[in-house]
Amino acid sequence: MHMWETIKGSFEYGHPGFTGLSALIKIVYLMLAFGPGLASILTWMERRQSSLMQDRLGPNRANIGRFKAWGITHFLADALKFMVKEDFVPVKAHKFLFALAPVLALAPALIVAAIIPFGAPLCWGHLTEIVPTGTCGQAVDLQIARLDVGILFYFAISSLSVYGATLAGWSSYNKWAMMGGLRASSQMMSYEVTMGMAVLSMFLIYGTLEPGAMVAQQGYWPWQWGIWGIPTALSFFLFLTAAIAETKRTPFDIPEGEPEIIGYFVEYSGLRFGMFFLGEFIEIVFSSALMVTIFLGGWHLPFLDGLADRVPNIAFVLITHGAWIVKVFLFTGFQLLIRWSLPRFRSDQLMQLGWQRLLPVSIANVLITAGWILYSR
Amino acid sequence: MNHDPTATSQKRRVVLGVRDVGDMDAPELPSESIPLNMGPSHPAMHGTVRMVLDVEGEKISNVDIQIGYLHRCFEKEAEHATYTQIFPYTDRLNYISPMLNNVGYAMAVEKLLGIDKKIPERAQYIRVIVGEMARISDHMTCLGAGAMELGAFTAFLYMLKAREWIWELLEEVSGARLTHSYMRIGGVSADLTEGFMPRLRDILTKSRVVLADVDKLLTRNRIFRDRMDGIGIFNKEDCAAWGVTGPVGRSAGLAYDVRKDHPYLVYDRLDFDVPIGSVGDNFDRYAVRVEEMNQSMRILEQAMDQIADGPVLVNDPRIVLPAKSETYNSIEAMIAHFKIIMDGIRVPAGEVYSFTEGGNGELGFYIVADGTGRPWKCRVRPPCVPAVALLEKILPGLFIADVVPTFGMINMIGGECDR
Amino acid sequence: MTSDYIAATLAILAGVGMALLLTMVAQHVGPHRPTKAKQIPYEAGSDVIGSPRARFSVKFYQVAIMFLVFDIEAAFLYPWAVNYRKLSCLGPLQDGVCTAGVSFFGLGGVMVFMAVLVVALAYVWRKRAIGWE
Repeated sequence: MHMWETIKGSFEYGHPGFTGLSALIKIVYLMLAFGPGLASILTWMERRQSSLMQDRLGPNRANIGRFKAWGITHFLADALKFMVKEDFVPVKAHKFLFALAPVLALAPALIVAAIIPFGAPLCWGHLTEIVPTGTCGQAVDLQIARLDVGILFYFAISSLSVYGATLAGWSSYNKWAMMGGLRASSQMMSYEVTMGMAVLSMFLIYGTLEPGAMVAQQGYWPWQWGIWGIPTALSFFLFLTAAIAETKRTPFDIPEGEPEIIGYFVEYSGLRFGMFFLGEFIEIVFSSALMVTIFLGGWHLPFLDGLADRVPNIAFVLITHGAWIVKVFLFTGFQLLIRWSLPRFRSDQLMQLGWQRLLPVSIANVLITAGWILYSR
Repeated sequence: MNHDPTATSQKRRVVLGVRDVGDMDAPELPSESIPLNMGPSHPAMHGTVRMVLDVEGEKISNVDIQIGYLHRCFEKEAEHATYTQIFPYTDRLNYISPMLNNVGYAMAVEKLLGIDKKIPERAQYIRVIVGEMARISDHMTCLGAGAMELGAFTAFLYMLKAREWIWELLEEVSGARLTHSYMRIGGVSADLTEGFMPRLRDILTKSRVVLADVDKLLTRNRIFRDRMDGIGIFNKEDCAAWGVTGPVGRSAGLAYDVRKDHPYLVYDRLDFDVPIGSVGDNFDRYAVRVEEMNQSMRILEQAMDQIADGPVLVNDPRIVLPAKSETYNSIEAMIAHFKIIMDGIRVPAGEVYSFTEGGNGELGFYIVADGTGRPWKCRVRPPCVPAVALLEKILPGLFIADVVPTFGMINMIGGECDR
Repeated sequence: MTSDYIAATLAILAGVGMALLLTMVAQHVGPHRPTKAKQIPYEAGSDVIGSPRARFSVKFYQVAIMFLVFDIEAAFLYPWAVNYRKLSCLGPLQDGVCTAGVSFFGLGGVMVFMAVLVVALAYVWRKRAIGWE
């Protein structure tokens, strides 16, 4: 009887069961399906996109029977290959840390999704009715956790992934891996500072750390988005640079630096390597999602101002969610584009760029933004 | 053990002395140097070479370069092959510009035979044409691979695309994409194919576009320049002392190009410039190679204008195989064919050193003949060995990451270096 | 809200759970055929010389210290940034809009803070702790 009450309660707004169930559904959808799914497709897209840029074919063969779709199923073949490959652990490696490192590389990349709003709030019980913005009494946010610390949670969790790289390097008992781990840790730490500073001017403007509130402050039109304005555009470019450096991709792929030092995961094989690989792409997805949230209007869709007053709530939510997906997808595509166009920095040049160029500029940007807010008052 | 703690502490105090706290430029704390194997199986060590680096953090304090992982006994094998049979071996010396090795070797044997002045003019022009094509493909591979190792993968594939056009044309002429063996002692194995000239002109036009694209991607790219400028500086004196020639020597200001200083074939009739670098760093080596490709294209255009019809092999039955139809139909030709194939071309006893401008510099062949159809000794002067040797002096003090562009711009080719 | 923190905890559990699940798959699905040669650490194809547990350069440690200093200072700035509008207003905010006069307390305070930060950065710069010079 008690069990039945709980199950029934799970469909009633405000009941603890309802809160838990909706959170779980959002977690499964965003963190376990959308993130890894888009990341997997990106692994294929990166190769395919680069092949188009470089005048070659790229991976276009993978298929399931008749279903080919330009070889998009390549990522499934990759996943299968990772799984059935030998899981190899070097004999001198520190077994526990060796196993822990990929977990630390993948888990934070997934967890950061918790604060990202991915659509307009759903109005429970009024799904098929027209619900104008702000009039819903039973709103379910399309955001796993509406934390006041918001972006701080993102930084706190994402900085854990530095342990993944460092521990992978150290535990492998391999000098090249060690070198890669050291480089990864110094790079990621340096750029985290820049990242935190660059986004500070956005907090000044929004006056909150909560991503949902940030999206709510932005409007439908591009000139109502966070990126519009000189200090904020500067903040965007600084943050973008630092975010690419955080995901360790060309031109900042010093820790891997394929022909240089093979990388901190040199001793990893099979699915454990796949976890580093997937983690990197998931980081791209969710860092893009974060930038879309802060700078590019979140789930707001241009040209459809006042749509909430015209269509049923469920349609509105789905449209905004679609807009968010398109934005994130385009932004990840942009990040992939950069990779194939630029050579890589040297480690000391990278550090100098971070500490001596980006950091002073972002500090100045914070002060300029603060002054500008006072002036515009 | 007699251990007096006070003595140690006193000694330590003497060593440390009074530190000058105000000195902002005090030397950093010494760290242990870690020995690190780079190669033979390392992505940057193309051509399998092993470098044992001593690194302090990211800096190289000492380097020991070990070559020989691609040793294939070229010189010993050559002693057991007839002069003609050596051509396929030379293809595998500098395997990104095999035609130039072919030319160099053929000229050495011809000098020994005393027929170097009798080579038909058309054959000489063909040698220049295919040789310069090989030089372009050599430099394209070097620059493309160098860019790729710095992460600029797109530039690499652009370069290889253009190289493929050249190789396709060379395949059409010689029958093989890479292992051409197109030269013969006394000329070339076959005349140029029909439609060769228009195709080559077309390739040059298209290649110029590719080079312009790569130029846009790299030359003014800030990251690329930061990685190349002022890194791995070779000075002129060292280059002269070590015997570094070719693009590496020229980038350091050593104005030596065999084609210009000791003209061979028909190079004296062709107008071209020899680019010289001023700094001797990686970027100079890059720039010198780019300019050399442009000059090679100029040479190709002039050679295509000047080339006239004529035979492509000397008319000497002791050196050149008779035509197939004669071999099958006359006893004299068949015997001549048999003798050349089985015994080889009889080269009078003597020794010769002949040198040409290979892709990486002075490519020399030193041959000692004992009067039989096989050389008594065939030694190659590989142009990249001195440059690799000089690296041991250049690399200490640089970063690990600097090994990649520096080694890439040397263009060390394992096949040629280890032989 | 508490429920949001529960949701965040669930998210953390889900992320870690997914990673652990993949690790288990890695351990149990793939084959295990260790050989002696396979288990040598891969050092570019040569026999290993020296130990990777040697002391590495102090420079990496410097970066870690710099990170601690600057990132924590950046974290201190977050609450300031969030409350900046409140700090810049002489009176209380009315629905997020300042009706009273402008206060320079927020800006002035952070100027002092930033000055200390910039001095620290300049010191680190001058000391050449950045890069590898």
